[in-house]
Amino acid sequence: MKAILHTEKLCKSFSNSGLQQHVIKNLDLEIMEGDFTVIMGSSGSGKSTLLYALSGMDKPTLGKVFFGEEDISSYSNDQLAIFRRKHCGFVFQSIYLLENMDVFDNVMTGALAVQKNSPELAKRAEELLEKVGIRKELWKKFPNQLSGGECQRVGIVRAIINEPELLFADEPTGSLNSASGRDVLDIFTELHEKGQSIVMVTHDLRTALRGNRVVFLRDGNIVGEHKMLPFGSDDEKKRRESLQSFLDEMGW
Amino acid sequence: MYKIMRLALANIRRHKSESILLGILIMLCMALLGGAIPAEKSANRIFPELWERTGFCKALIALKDEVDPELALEVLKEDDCVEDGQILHYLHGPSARILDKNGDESLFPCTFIDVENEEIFEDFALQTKLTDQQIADLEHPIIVPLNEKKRLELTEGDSFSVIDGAKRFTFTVAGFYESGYFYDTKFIVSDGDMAMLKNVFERFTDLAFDPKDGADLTDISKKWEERASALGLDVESAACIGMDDWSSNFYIEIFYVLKITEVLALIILIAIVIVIGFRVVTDIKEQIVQIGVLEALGYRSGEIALAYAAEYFLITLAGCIFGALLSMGVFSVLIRIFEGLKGYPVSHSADPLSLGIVFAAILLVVTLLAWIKARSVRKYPPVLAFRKGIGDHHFGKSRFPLRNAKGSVHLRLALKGFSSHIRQNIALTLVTGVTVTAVVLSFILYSFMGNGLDLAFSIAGCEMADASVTVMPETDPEDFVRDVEALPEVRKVLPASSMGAIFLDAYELNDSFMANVYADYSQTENIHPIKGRFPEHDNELMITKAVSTASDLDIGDTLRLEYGSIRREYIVTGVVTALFNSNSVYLTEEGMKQLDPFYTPTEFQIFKSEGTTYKELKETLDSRYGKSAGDLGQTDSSQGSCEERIRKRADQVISAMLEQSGATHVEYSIQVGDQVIGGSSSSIRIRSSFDMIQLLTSYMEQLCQTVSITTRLFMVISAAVVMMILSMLMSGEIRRRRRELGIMKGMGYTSKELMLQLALQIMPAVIMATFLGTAVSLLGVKLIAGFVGNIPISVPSVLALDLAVIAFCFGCAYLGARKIKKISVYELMTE
Repeated sequence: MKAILHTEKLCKSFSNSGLQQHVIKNLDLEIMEGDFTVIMGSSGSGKSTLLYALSGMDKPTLGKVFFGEEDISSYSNDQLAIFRRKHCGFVFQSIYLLENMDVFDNVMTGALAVQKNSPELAKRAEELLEKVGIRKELWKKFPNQLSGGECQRVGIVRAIINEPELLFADEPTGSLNSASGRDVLDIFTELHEKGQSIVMVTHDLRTALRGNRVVFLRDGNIVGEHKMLPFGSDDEKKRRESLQSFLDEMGW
Repeated sequence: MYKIMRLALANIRRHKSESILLGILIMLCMALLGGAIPAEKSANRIFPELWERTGFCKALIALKDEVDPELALEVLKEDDCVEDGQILHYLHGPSARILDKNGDESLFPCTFIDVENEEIFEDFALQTKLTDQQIADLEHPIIVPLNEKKRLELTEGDSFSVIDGAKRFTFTVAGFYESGYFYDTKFIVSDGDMAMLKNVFERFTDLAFDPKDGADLTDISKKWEERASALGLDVESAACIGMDDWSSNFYIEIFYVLKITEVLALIILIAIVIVIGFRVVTDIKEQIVQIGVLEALGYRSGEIALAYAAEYFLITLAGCIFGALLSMGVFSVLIRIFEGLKGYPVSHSADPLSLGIVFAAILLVVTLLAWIKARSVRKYPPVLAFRKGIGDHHFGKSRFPLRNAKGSVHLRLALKGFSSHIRQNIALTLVTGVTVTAVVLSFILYSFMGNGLDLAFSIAGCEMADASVTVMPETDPEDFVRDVEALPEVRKVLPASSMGAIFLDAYELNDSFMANVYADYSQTENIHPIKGRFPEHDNELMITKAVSTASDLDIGDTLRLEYGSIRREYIVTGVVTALFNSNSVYLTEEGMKQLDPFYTPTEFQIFKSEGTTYKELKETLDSRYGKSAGDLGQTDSSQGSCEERIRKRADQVISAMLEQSGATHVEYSIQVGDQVIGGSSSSIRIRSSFDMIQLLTSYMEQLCQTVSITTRLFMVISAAVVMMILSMLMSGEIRRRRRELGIMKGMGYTSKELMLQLALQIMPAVIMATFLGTAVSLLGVKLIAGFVGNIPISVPSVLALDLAVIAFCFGCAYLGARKIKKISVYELMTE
């Protein structure tokens, strides 16, 4: 397996009223193709900041981020936008659907940033929506007319419609009830099984269990890493116990 | 109050750049209004102060030739309300032209008077650098009003000529004097020159007097008329004119400059009002959660509304303070323009009251409007506010769906954005419409008046041919027209009578009107009735707007005219605006023959062919018909053989006799030794010719410059206002849609693509506003056309301007949205 994304001495700091806050410190990380990498850590450890720096949503303060052989940390904002739309998909905790667009248009807006409008594109959107359980009668509804779980499923379709090489997820089940959360995670598992590379930030054990690699962050540095077999291929109880013991070791 | 001010200041800090732009708009509005209103007051003082300084008589009664002035004056003096009644004689040349020291000819209606009569008119004081002896040595001395000194660029000892018809008189400037405003320029000449000029210019005898304070001029005139009539004097409808009559003519250009400035200020104020309404609503929507928090903390909605009002109060206060400072500059510039336009000094002093009123009015209007709009916070109790109101919740049908959408995705997304915010777009259409109206209107005015000729052509009230030629009386007009029209340099020839050749007596109105005579008015190109139609029959005529107003005549009324001893009645068929010779009537050739059965036109207005210059036309006419009498007078008789010199000198004498003494035919025979040298004026076919366009251009120069500068300024300021408003709207839009734009950026839309979408989103409103603004402008132009005659509008130019305005708005909106570049996607999404 080759690395799809890697960082070299990645640093990210914020300044506020002259005070520098170093959130990520000289971090080296490799994301392997086809891996479901879960980034964990306590609050304020820099999980989300790392995710956004990796995905080109934000620029690192120092260090480099390579997508394949390409150093994306030197990209301009517009180059990063083009990189994101071509190679990445995003699922957020706050979902971030466009409030003034119906379900179908939310999905199409993401797709049209990359591809020209075509009947195939609309057909693909329909298939994906049906696949994640968004019924046809919901396609013309606005986000405020859907449940949180439904919205997140629309968010996932929007993220994957362009078949991204990397799917980033920031606490995708954080704002959902457990049933909806499970449905969403099942979608992620299914995507991973089909070879989708995923990087997910979470602080939820059940969510982290879906990955095959857990990276633990503390004070902006990777302090531990735990590898697992793909979800469903081993005994869930043992899987949970080994992850729990890793997390306990990390002081979580 | 403290907590309200704190909230207001916090809001201003949040939107610093928008607040600064709004402040600049308010400053502009305050500066223009604060400068224009006191300037109008100062301008209104020019006239009375001039009267005060010069002691100019306050009223005149024009007498008919046959009335005994001594007796008329005695009757007038019987009135206790009359002071300083005296008899006044002067000469008037309404169609005179001036040939300045640089050789440029321009229309120059003027009056001539001698010193004795001038002292009756006003307190005469000569200002000169010449000694009495030097003045006494001048052959034809002339004293010029000070206000014309700069315009004509004259100094003591300079020479210039006054031309009337084919007659030319050259004077030398002896000095200057301060003169009150008369209908036209009043020159003081020597007694000898007055006697010579009497042969050419019309003689007027007036009674000059000052009504006592509080006395009504109309009453005095009426009483005098009654008593004089009882004594058998023919004073029926005697014209009595006073300061008010003169002042109405005086203020035309000043009025134009002031109104343009005030209209521009009002347009800016309307734009400010709409923008503020839009901003308050946007701010409330954007800050709805904070509003909910404040309400939950115990702030009343009234207090929050007051905080918004206080925000705009503070911005307006700052804008008005800077505007008030700037208004002093605007005031000074306007005063300088007035002084340049009229040539008279304008006394000006600070007018804190006017400034204060404007200041308070702007402050009140803006604050009140902000408060009224901000009262909508009452609709959001805390719980609703926490849920961001109901306004952000979308239901119903999705407009412009993306499924199977053709063309650019950005355009589609822009249209979606436009349809999602219809109410805001109505405000945008209004504000853009108002400012675009200003741009389009000023463009039309500029293109119409920019070089002055189109304006002059439309409102001159006389035909503006390329050349005007006066022929010798024996010339057959039909032959001459045929002959000239056959020349390749000539497009058309119109036989006419204008430029003061014939004056008709309106005996019932005690007035005389200059006659314009054309065979067929449909052949004219620059005479446009603003009301009614051209005269077509021998009992019809058209009048100027000035005649219509002064004599209370309208279409369908009857006007009785006298020429020689023949009286005829004419029906008024139309009204025309006349920039020159406003006391004019327009008759057909047949109509003129009713008054003068032997009338034949001696003036021919020649229109040159495309591509021909006046010089080429003149050379062709000279080579075909010989030099005109006027040109022969200018030949150099000091060169050549003895015979040549004699002939040239003889030509000069013939020219002088034809031009100045009114001779129609001259023959000479001179014996030099055994040789007899003879000749006559019969070889001269053209009495005079001149370049009408050049004449008009020089006369219009000042007004055109004023119009050109003000309309250009108007366009630039309007464009700047459009730019500022669009920049503010874009900032507001980015603030309001920050999260949505962040999501789009997160999805991979670049800043440039989002800028394009935002700019495209306002385009439907801009396009609607542009065409709406153009329609309003065209209506405005139509209204103006009602006053000045025909205003030619080039449809392709207006369409090109509309496209330029749309492109300009797009550019402004695109650049205004560039703020989005500076904000990181993460920041945009999570804010």
